[in-house]
Amino acid sequence: MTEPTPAGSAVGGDAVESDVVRDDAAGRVLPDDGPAWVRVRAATWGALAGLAMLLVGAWAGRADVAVIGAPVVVWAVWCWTARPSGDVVVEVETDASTTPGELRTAVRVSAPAGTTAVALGLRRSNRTQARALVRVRDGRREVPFVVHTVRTGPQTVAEVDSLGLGPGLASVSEPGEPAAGEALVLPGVRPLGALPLPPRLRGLTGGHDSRRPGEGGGLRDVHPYTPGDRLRRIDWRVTARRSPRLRELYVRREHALAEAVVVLVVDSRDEVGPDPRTWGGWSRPRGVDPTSLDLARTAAASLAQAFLDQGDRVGLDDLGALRRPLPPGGGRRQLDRIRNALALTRPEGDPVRRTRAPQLPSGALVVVFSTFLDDQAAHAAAQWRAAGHRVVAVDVLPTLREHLLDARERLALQLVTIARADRLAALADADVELVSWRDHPEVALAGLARRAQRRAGAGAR
Amino acid sequence: MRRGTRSVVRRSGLVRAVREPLEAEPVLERDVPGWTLHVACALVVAVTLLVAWSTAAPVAPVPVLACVVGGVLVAALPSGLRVLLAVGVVGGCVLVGGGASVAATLALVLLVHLAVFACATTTRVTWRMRVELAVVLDGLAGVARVQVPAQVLAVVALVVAGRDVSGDVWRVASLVGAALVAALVLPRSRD
Repeated sequence: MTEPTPAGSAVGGDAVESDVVRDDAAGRVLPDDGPAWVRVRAATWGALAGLAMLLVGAWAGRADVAVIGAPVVVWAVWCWTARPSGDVVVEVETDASTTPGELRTAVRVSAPAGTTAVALGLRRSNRTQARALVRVRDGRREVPFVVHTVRTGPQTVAEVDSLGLGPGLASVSEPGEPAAGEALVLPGVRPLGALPLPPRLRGLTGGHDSRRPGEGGGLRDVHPYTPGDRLRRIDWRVTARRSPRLRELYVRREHALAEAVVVLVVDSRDEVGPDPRTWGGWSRPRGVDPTSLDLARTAAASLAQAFLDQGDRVGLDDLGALRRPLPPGGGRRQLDRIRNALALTRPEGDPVRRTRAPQLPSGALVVVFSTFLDDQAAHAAAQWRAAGHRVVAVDVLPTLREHLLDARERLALQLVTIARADRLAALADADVELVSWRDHPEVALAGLARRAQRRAGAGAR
Repeated sequence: MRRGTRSVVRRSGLVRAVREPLEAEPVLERDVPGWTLHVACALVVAVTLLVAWSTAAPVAPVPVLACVVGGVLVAALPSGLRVLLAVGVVGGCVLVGGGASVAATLALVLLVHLAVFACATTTRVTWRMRVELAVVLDGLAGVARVQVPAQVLAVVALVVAGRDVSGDVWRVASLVGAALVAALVLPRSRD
């Protein structure tokens, strides 16, 4: 059953007749306090029919006919004399930044005195999501509403249309100015297990064992005491076993600790949803469907948190924008910076074409998040691998819904899929490690981490 | 699913409408779906037409069906002309009938008013719209405030016109009492 669209829908209905003459040449003066509300046509015609019954009953001497029409006329006149004038104003209250899932916000309605109800229309993604007729008391009302979304980044939480209704719902205001609420939805994070490491570690502190001698790491070897060794490093058991007469002392030497440098590279040049029919840009992906950029944001934020929790340094770069990258850093505030930068990442204008991959810190682990629907990200990843970086390519293309495609759309998608598969195979040939974010990325990342555990700090094959 | 059927379903947007959950929904106080108001409007209009018909001719299945169809038509697509037509039919039936009973007249005084109010309300309400019950109760309170003097006035007018109301005294009293109670109780529902 299709939903009928009454002539007087919630917003912008035309089933009204105006009693306000807006012709200035006629000498009529419009009210100063705003546009007068117009009568609802159903009430007008009902009142006219009641008036006709009243007159016919009086003329024919039929009291029973006259009294049936009288109350409608009285009611309509009473409603119209009490109708308000002025504009209905709505505002959408949103938090400045929030996390995906269930966003709670509110619509604040301000209406002129005498308004009994306001019809609200909530729109999101260019679609009307809900309509509601709410009561207004003393000209004010706050209506909370919930937005279910998995989308991240800057977005319009909801657009709200409004229409005021007077006493008896017999008069109606002009449609109010639509109000919109903007919010920056930060990407969420998902827990990850073991993570791959770059081929070289840096510094003398961190969460990983370095290959250099130092302090804090695992056992490196047992060595005869030399001047400069600390006395507390002497291993008395080994000394007693190897030199019972204490002619020589033995000390335990440890590996130094070190930190990894990780650079997350997000390809923000395109944002595609699971429905290939939306790729042309004619319609937007649904709010309940995460796009490739949503997955990339979530993946990058998850990896950033996991690496930062290990004490590593994480930076962020964007293949789709020519601006300074976020340099590698550590700590909680770096995670906040990365999440905020990720949330602000989005396709901007024409895609940027780079002739050379961005320069990255030497020895860094590079993680590229892309759909690999074109060659740009794959070329950059191959260049970084050729320069000696360990490169992990994270495929963030969502699981596609193909069941609603027609034959031509299926054929087009097959061509795109074949080209993409060739591109990913070429990446694998270039010694770039591939991880798909669609299916259990934590397992794939743990597999990459195990391959690099042959010796401490060795990640490159 | 065959290709043609799939294409029709996809283009009609039916799959979208059925499968897609709402992304944004308001949190309301005691709300009812809009289609219930349409159903209520259809019922009120149908009963009004039926009572009016009963004053002019005996009730038979065909007029009952016609009244129901009329009520559904007015409620499904409420417009000014349909309301005018419905009220006009009521007036015509009473006029042709040559004198409705007191109870039927008082019932029509209430029902015609309710029908016009219901049609005015449903022009603002779509089938999926959620309507706070307080909005409807406020409107009904306004109707009741007009109905109390209207019912009394109707009784007085009928007595002046020479009608014998002694046989319908309990019906008259109950209708006036119901309107009075509604006028007193409904505004208190705001709190």
